Amino acid sequence: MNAADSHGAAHGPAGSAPPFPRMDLRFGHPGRRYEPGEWVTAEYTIDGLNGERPRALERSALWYTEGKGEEDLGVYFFERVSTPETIDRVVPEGTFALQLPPSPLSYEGVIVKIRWCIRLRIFFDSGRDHVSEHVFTVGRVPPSILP
Amino acid sequence: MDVGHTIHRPNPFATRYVASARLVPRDEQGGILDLASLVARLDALGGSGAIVGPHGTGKSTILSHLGDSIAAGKRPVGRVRLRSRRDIPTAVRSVRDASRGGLVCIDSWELLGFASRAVVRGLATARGVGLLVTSHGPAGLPTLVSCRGTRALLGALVGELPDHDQWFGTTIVAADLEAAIDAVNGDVRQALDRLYDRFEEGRLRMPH
Amino acid sequence: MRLPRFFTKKRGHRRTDSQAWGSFAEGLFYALLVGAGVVFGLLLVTGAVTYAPADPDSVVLQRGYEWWMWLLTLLMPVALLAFGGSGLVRVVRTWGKSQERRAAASGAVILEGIAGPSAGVAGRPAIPSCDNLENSPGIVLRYRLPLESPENWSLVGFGLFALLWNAVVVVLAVGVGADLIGGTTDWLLIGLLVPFVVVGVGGVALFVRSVVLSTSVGPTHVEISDHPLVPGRRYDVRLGQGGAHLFRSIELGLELEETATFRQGTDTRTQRIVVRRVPVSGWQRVQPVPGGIFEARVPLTIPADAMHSFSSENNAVQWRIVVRAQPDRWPEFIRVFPVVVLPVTAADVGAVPESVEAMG
Repeated sequence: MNAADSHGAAHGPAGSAPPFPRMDLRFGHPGRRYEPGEWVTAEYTIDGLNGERPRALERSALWYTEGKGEEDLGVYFFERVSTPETIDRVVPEGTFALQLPPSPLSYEGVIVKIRWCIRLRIFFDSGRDHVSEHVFTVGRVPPSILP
Repeated sequence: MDVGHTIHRPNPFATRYVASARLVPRDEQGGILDLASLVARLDALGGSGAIVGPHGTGKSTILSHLGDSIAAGKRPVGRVRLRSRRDIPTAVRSVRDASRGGLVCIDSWELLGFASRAVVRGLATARGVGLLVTSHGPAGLPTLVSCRGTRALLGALVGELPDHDQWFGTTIVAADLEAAIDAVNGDVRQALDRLYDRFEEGRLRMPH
Repeated sequence: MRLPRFFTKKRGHRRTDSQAWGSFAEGLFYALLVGAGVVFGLLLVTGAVTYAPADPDSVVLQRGYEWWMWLLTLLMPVALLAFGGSGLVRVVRTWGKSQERRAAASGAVILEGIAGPSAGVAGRPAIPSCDNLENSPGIVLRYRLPLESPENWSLVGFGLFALLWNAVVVVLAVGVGADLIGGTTDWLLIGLLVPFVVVGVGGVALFVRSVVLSTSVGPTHVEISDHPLVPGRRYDVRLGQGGAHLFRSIELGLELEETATFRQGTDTRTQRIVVRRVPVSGWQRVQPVPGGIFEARVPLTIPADAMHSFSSENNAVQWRIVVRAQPDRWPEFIRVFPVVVLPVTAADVGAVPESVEAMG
């Protein structure tokens, strides 16, 4: 596993609730760069639960657009684990693997960018939730610049 | 070919970061609006009100957050975003189907014509539903907030964008904000759009 | 002289009726234009000759219009006559001749490949469909690409505007003329008429310019040896450019365009930007053979690192073949032919993978 991978930013309602957990995800590929059709393997850990009971965990792989337009996204893989019997198998750590589709490739355009990411979203019994997003690259398309 | 630098170079002015729901609602001086006092003021106005201001001055942002705040107080909130006159039936249905005592938020109230506004207002009164709307001009509802786009507001919004400290002062400088807001006559939304372009141009000059 | 066509693809799946019926309908359309020109012209002339004489029993021989007013009034019927008449001539000349026969007459006789079922882009998420790009076989190469050009619709817009605006002008002018003949001068009406006439003349001038430009520069055809396109691969492109005049330059290139649509309340903005230009070929001082077309066949290599075509609800990345031509005495025009480029590893990956695994 590549140790240089990131953890996601915290998203969730503000307030005096307990601090959000830290969700780290490590990709199995150096540089988080994959080719279309390749298998992505990832290993994640969720720290800082502080005894709070998770109600569900959602794991997804998706592409989304970023830029000047409205954000479009395509969810390629989605899984929700929410039964008491299975939640312990995916929290506080777990792995998963998926084979990438042929398209779209990651793209760094000027007003349109396409990014792939893995999202982990954890829901607590209290009703709050926290999502972390881990971007990776598919393909080797160089960035576009204004001609 | 090494394309490692392409992994993630977000432009902080992308729609994803400057969408209404993402930004903190602020007044024209850039200060954060006290949503609780706005909710109280809305109640004092009889449960309905309008967020009024020119194009691109933060009306939808305030509407979005105020709607969240009211919903968090357990009052049922319906939301309608009008994009064209074809959405008018949706607005009417939302008011018709809203629970008594609830609130319907309507973005771009001016898209409803005179007759449609009368129908929606009449329906809301009959059903005991409040209306919270955004409008470029007088809306026929009491004004809850008046919005105006200023350099201070733009500066405050830019200050909350991702990784602000890493690019402000280098890729984007204070003069860019001045130029952007001046060029679009106080339309903060368009100023953010210009700053997107400026950021793209600027980072081409930056070492990766 | 070429007449504007509003639907530029006339073969492949789009035309299923007999060619004779198609030609008949086309001829009927132009005949109707000629008829409209004649009727419109006659109405104007007779209306002006017999208009409001002081004595109803006498015939007015001295017409109330100055020569320039006549010129203005007759512009519309003359344009309709010219438009429809030349169309009729072209229909008669090509009646009963197949596309291949016409192509042979212009020197393009080799048929290369027959368009069969496309590989398509099934199983490749977010890549736009090729259906509309592959339903028209080329004369020489496999596919004839459709033209994406708003210019002919602009022509319709200019024409409608000129027609409606000048109808108002005629009504106003008739009122002013009636007053003058009656011996009164309504300065308010005359003052109102002047700016209306200026705008009306401008509208007619724009329309005539568009018609002349559209009919003078000739059609542009682009054919390609295969589609969809794959980065790193080489294709043949055949360019056909009609026209009776000298072209100072013609350039063929490939462009990558990004499109982003932003919606916020009543504000919907779509921005387009070309982020990559790949020159393919260029020609200087091109003179199409009279009655024929300029033809060239050139290789086109899709850059190995090209981004694939992409389309989602609010965003798109599109490749297109672009023809830029500079006629000798006319403004430059650009004609755009969209194409679809697949991901770089298209040869290596097939359909959507079968399995997605998740492990606890």
